[in-house]
Amino acid sequence: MMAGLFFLFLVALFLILFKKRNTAILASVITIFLCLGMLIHHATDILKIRL
Amino acid sequence: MIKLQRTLNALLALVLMGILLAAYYQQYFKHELPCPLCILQRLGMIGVSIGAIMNLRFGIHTKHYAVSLLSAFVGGSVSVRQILLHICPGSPVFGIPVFGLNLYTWAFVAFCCSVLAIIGLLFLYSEKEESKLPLNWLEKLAFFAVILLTLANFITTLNECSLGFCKDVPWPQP
Repeated sequence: MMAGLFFLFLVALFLILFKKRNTAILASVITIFLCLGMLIHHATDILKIRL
Repeated sequence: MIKLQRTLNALLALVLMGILLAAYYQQYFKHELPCPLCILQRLGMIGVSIGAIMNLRFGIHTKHYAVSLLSAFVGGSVSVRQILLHICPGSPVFGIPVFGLNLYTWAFVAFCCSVLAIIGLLFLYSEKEESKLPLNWLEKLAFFAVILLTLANFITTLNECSLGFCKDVPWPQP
């Protein structure tokens, strides 16, 4: 899961390399929101709470 | 002014990659494996660098700064969460402090400094100036440092956690 987030950033970097600006921005934003999701998952899991 | 902005973007990316290299020093020489929150903070720093790299590749634009600010916000949130988990007096120490502060506290400082740096860069920004230029040596170094460290983090995280979730405390417990 965590490694997949780095992979998504690698995809974004390769999109930047191949000059696909808007797709790179989309990939980066999706990855950042997935990171936020992981944080929420960690917080609710460790505290055993449900949102 | 454009060259100054581009240089500052490259330096922002390089400083953050330097922090990730320091994290690798802690990982391999001090044997302090990253926890899930630590990995999320590393992702936040890469996200901030990606915004800076986009400025170098495509020309300076507010959307690229928005990507960096969003990453800094998420990364900073993770750092704050980790600080709050260990802030109560009597809580066990998590990790080896560096110059008196834990790594997650230093990460929070780094994210705050990134936000301030981006605010400064936005003050310099002018949409009338053409900012898409060929990459010089410093910008190329920043570009490849970000790619290299992202790849390295992908490989080491895959090695530590495989395809599932990472362990909350990755080192042996007494």
